[in-house]
Amino acid sequence: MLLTLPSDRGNGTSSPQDDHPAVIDVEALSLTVGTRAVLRQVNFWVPANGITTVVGPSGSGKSSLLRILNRMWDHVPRVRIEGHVRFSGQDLYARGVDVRAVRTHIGMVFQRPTPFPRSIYDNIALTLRVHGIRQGISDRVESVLSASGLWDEVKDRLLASALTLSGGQQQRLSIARALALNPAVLLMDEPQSALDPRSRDQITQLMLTLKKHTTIVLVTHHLDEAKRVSDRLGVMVGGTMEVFGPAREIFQSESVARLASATQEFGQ
Amino acid sequence: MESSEIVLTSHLGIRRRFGLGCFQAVNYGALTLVMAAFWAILWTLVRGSLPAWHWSTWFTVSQGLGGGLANAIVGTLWLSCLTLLLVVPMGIATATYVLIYASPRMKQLTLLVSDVLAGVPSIVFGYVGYIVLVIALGFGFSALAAAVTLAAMVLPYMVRTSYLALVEVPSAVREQALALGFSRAQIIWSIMWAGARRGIIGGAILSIAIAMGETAPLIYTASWSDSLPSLALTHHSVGYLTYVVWTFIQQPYPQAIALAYMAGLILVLLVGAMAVLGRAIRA
Amino acid sequence: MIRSEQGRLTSRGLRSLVETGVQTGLGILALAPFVVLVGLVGYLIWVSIPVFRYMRWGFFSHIAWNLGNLYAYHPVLVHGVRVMPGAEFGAFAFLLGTGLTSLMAICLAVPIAFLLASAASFGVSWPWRNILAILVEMMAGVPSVVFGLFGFIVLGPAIATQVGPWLNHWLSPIPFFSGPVTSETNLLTATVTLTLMVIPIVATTTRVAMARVPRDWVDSARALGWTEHEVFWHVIWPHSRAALTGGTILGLGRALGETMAVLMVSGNALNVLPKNIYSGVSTMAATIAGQLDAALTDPTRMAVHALGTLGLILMAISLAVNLIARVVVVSDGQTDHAGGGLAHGIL
Repeated sequence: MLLTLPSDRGNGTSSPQDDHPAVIDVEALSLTVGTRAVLRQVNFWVPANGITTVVGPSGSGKSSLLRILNRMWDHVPRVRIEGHVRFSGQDLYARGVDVRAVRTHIGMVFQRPTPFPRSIYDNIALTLRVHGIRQGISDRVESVLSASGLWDEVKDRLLASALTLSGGQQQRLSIARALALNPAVLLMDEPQSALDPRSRDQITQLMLTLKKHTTIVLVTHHLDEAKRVSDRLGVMVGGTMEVFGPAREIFQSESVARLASATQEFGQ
Repeated sequence: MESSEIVLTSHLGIRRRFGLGCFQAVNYGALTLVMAAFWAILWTLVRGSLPAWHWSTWFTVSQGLGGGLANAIVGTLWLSCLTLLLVVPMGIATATYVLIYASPRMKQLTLLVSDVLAGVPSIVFGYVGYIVLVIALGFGFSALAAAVTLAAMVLPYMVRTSYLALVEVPSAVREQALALGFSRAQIIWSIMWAGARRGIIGGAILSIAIAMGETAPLIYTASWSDSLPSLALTHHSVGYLTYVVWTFIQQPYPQAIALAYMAGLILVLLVGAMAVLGRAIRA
Repeated sequence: MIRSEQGRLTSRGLRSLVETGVQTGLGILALAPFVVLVGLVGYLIWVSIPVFRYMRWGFFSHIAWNLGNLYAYHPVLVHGVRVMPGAEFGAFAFLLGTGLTSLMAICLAVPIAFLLASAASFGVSWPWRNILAILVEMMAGVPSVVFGLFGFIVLGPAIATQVGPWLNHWLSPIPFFSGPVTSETNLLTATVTLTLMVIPIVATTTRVAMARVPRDWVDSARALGWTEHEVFWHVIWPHSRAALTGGTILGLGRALGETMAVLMVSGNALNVLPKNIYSGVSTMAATIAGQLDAALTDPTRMAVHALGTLGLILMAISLAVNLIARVVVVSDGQTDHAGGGLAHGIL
């Protein structure tokens, strides 16, 4: 399923300088797990305050790419990462960089909701307390729950177990928890794929609100969802970034039909 | 850009750094402890058995407190084979029956009884096996009495592993076969047992590994014999490795002690190898 | 191989015969667990009846275990039971010995096992955690006589010459810890040997539960910038607490029923209670194995029956312990399922 792509955007190395400054800049990135090359020579960048989406078939390496951006591969044995990943100008993989610091600035939300088996309040408060924050916790809880659109639904039962929430609510709680540390970037790994259509829609709306203040990197295999939210779009196939550019241009280009059909074909 | 605000280095405060340090220290401490204990046990066996590292140990039978281990090794294998013959049909049948025929209550009850049996101390099997099989039924100290006792003891392991293997066979396949007009007996034979073969074989190997390491059920059922086991099932006592370990080690003769270490080493390696093999086949 | 049966929908005679035969055969074999359990329990109760008729509650409270005058010309009739004159069967010392060795072993083993589980599932880095998990499982499979051998050869002398005197020196204000260390086989050696045997069981049960904590939970805690110890305490530990309890009870079950290792290192003291941790003890399981030979010389069979009664009590305790462990582990499984269940259900 090779894609033929317009030559002007071929290999997707449009440079960061053209419209926005880059928050994250990935250059010639390769990832090898064991003996398997998962990513090969990937270049892409993420502008501030927008949604950058990466789509591709399962196994194309899009989730692996996302996990590189907050160093989640640190805990997996026999992994080799080559190339550069810069976050606001600093190399994430340089010596002396504290992975915990990286993750407070770059938050992450996963495919399945991951509420800790505690109260709704504690899910967020604990996150702050672990980082030594003692003051203004309840204000912060309220503000992130509001930001994730959950406050009105849970304000009367903050001390109830987070496991009593519905799947969509749990996912929004996971987002609120990630927002509690006020990250500059939020990585979202197929945050809607485990949810029902209505909850999906809520998450989509939430992303559109959040992008005003937060930089979002989204990985998904739903092309229509990517179309609704994306500012920039990258398409990954077989561990390489086949195309990368402004989302509107890519969706308008003549190859979009083929892209769509290919994506549907490989999606799920 | 606010890049000047973002500091990616030296993030942890004293408290968190201390907590992390303690956590890593005790974890690596635990690692060291276990490695030390494991090597201490292995090294004790290897060093103690050195005088018995000779071909003759494997090929001569024991004479009193000396000689070799041939009778004990063959005896352990002989008892294991007999146990296997008894326990495998019972284990598979029980697991199959509860999965295919039994009502949900019956299924739960059978599995509960089987699990409870796994908690019965081995000496209780030994005691009852002696009084009932050796004396009351008149088997005498014999391979049969020992194998029946061992089989009763490892039965719950065989039931559990067979059950887990059979449950893994997708019920959709079963229903498909039913829809094709297979009889239940055909389904059991050609779908269930064929599909669960690996798991069942692995479970049998694990059960036998457990049986091989046992002593308490055997002392009063197999007793001990200096000669190679005969094929007679009753009235002929049988030697086995665990007996050598626990009696010969308490003797004042260096030759006996070396044989006890050797028997211990063989047991550890044999049981360990079978456990690894059983687990690999099941996985 | 489709053979038309011309619309016949009833099964043929032979086929249904096979069906019934298979079902009956399997059903009969499936009775095996019931037969074994009922047989064991029934038989032990049966032999215990005369023992309780003779000893009454004294069986639990008396310390002396005495076969009586075996050279007496005639057995005597007491409470309608024939026994040798002067025979006495008191299990208190064995009950105490079993309780002391098992509980002390559990107290020593659980903290170590917990650390091992933490290290093997999460705490140490990659090749080591797998090596550790394998080593712990291998230790769980080491036959109990080998632990007995190790206790007899290595631990006993070390306790008699080093550990015992050291403990006596530093802990002598505590009553049970002070006293002369005169023997290699004693309560302390038995306890330490049992500890070694129990650790792998508790550690493996707990490790499996810890390793089963869903990857996404661990990842999302890490993604919040938490360190390893914070992830462990706030995510892994709450998920595996019940497994540690269940594993502890399982380990207790093994310690209570352990025969050979205790027989080799406990000193097998009869008719006395341990004065301190350096005294010899005996447990119910070890006594059955150790005394059966002697008991057979009793022409009235009471001594053999009394050992059966020990077996009955031991079995009752072990079964109770195992049932509790089962309840704990199973209910843990259910909460675990409910925890991840919502997300799973949607997938």
